[in-house]
Amino acid sequence: MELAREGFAVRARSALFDPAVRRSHRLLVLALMALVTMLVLVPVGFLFFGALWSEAPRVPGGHLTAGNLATIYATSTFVVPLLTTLAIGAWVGALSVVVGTLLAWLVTRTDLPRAGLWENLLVIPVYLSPLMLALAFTAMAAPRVGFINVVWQQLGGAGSLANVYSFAGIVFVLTVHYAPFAFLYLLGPMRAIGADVEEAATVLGSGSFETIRRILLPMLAPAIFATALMIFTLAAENFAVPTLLGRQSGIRTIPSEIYFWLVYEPVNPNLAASAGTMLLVVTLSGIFVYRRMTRVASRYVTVGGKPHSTRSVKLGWFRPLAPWTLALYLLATIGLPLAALLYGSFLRYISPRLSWSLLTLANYRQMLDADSLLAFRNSLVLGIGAATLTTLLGLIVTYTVHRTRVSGRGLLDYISAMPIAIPGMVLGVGMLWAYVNLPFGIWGTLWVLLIAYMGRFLVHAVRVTGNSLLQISAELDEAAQVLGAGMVRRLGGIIFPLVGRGMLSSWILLFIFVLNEVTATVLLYSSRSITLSVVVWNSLDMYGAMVAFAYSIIQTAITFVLVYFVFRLGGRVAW
Amino acid sequence: MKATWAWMAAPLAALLVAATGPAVQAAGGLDASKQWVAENVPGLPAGLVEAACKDGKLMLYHLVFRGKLADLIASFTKTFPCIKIDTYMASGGPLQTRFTSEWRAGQAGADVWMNSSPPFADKISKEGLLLNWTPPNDALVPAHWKRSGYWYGIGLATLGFAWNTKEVTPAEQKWLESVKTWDQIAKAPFKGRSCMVHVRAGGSAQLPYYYLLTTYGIQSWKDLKENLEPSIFSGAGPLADRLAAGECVYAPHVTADTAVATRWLQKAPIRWTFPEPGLAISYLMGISSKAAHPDAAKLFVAWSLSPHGQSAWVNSTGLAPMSKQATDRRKYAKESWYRLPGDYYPTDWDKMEKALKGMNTQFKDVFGQ
Repeated sequence: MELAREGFAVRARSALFDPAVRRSHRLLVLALMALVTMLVLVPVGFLFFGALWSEAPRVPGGHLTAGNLATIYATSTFVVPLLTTLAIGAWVGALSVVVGTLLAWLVTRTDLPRAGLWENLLVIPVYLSPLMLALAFTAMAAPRVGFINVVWQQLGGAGSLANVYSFAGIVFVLTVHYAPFAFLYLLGPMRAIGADVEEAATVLGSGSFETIRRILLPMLAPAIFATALMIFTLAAENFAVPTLLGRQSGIRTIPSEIYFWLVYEPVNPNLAASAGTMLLVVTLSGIFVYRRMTRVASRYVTVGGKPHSTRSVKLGWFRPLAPWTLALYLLATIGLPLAALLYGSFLRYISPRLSWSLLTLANYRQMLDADSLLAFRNSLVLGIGAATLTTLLGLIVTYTVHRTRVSGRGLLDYISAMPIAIPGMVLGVGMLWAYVNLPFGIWGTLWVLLIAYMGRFLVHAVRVTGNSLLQISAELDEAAQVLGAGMVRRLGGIIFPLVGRGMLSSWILLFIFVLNEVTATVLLYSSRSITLSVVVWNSLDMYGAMVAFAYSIIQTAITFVLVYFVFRLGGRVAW
Repeated sequence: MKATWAWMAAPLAALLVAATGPAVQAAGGLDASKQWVAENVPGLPAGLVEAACKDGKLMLYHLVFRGKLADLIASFTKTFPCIKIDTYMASGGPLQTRFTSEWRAGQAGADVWMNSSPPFADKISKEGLLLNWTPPNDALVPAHWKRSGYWYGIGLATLGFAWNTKEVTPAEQKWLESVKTWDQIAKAPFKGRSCMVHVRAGGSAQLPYYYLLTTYGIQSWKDLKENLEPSIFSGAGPLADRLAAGECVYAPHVTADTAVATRWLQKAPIRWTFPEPGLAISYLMGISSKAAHPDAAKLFVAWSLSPHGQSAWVNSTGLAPMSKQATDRRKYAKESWYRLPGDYYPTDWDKMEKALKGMNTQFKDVFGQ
């Protein structure tokens, strides 16, 4: 039996070196490289050009300069914002992964009652954009007048119990938003680990904690690292939360500096482009470490050719308490903020007082105009279209990176990861510079936004599907290859069904990302391609937070319904 | 068979009606449009209305206003039904980046471009991005709010100090009502209960800091810091929200007729006053030199400068009038406490922009941010 396996492995490996196979893989890499270059490298390239040029692209009289980079890298002005940005990223990345791993473990590998229900509920904080969460927590925990502090004072407390305008406040709000991302990222890999290894550990005398520490966590290491890196970068490039919550306490981050350079006069997109490169070095170093970790991919394989079952750890005395703990977590992270948003959406203006006279339906009436209805339609079309196409492209990229041996495939990984390290607002400028010349009248249409979203979010699809793919033994794919199955057949017949849950996670994440994307969209949309996020963003300036709250409630409801149906669909096709 | 013919004929008939309907309407409206121009913008070339109608549409890149410009657009298209207005809305910075990028790439983006930065408008005028065209009613805009031949103000974002009326004592209210000039704003009795916008948050944020610095020196900033210990916000919008909530009680300088007045219209307990001299930035517009619909753009600018147009801008956006031509029907303008400044400070926009870098450093030194 063992001999047969070895013989098969030898044949499979030789299939990989078959000239015809190599040629088809090389063609695939070339095609992907062209596509990823258009989606990612061209706008990023324009940004680098802007960083090294004295004027915006196409301005006459511009010349090469190191002045922008020198302003950013060679002065002490940006040391503190950079360190603050890195600290926010590191704290949020670490906390989110701890919370996300724990939640994913509870849902997938324990006898938690009604695990399926919790799986759906725990991702709800993702539906709200960080900006809306920041506004909701401002209503909850602003000094003196936040609901928590008002209640505190009415109970006789002195001063303010909570202050959202602080470093801790920023980290808390971002962790609330990103911990469910970690949960979603890790669900697939956590589920894919078979019971055999844990059972073997138990037979050899390991306790539950020891099994988690020595078996489960090491096997999940690439997924956990990739997730931490992703969230670190997302939190570090977030501008809305640190700008809204940090300004009062003098907290400056790189994205908040960029925000000032791009939004307020006099604008300086070249300096913003230079600052936009700061996180790139950190992220690319992280990708390098990730690639080193996953080089011996077989170390993390959990799905082989044999079927496996998932082990259900008995929670014991904690089992009846677990749902209450999760409920408390949800109440603090989403229940109260959602309640604040919902209440706020019926208010004329923000007020800590409770009074019937403050209530109004006017905020919801704003949504009934033609612009808003068009924005709803556009957002749905773009969300569904971009999530589907990007997930498919992400899977093909990740498959090429991990399952072929064509030189240059590693570059695909690095290129697709670039946008995550560049704050959305700066990337938007790069996209504007790059795509404004697109042929066939594409500029100003939904297509530009679709292209922009695919470029901006491809990295998530690559990472999420990659997390799942790494856990599937290459044997399965190689067996099909030896038996003559082409790449399309192998992808459709083997890879898609096995990484189905990963694809589903990716799709949901991307749909939500697209629905909430605003920083690049404000530079690229037109009256025909206006999106819901732009309407919400503009309504903040036009009417204040209340109308934006109303939009957010509707947007959350739409996301919830859609994600619910997608989950149902996922369950029905037995992924 | 009859049913089939009926099904096929119905859309054809609809198409015919759709094709002929507007033409009939436009033909009827053209004379009225011409007559309006003859009466309200005499001197506009005779063929401009027809040429503008031939353009048929207009792309307006505008700043973010309280409403969606629906009233303003309705007012224009009522007079000129042959022109459809399409819009793109963003704040000042993105409007600059988008417009210049499109222009330089040869994309026909904006026909009419708006902004609130005179130095930037001057810069792109010199570069040739804005069309050199002087409307015949150019004189209706005061000199300080225009660069003749290139860009014209259509309304003012006027700065004042604002407070939450439910959070102040009668004595404090009395003090607030006594303030007449800018040198008094730092003497307010609201230590630890005040809020201000960061100096980098656009022209309307820079202007009061610039005025105080050049008129009263750096001590005026230090007084603000020492007497008020203000919270610093990233923009006027978040500040106005927190002022309405009572998180801070007093804002010594903020764009009152726009950000703060929006909350007043929502019935928030807020009031504001404009000290003398008036500090304001103008919201301006110019025509793209690569406008795809140049005649419609010219007609729109000329209409905007007319008394009718100025009134429409003021009353639909909440901006303060920049000349006596506009009829001010804004709700808060009718309040007994509301009084616009008599004179406006003649800001040197170029000097102010050049001073910004130094002001940033000084702001950091004084306010720690």
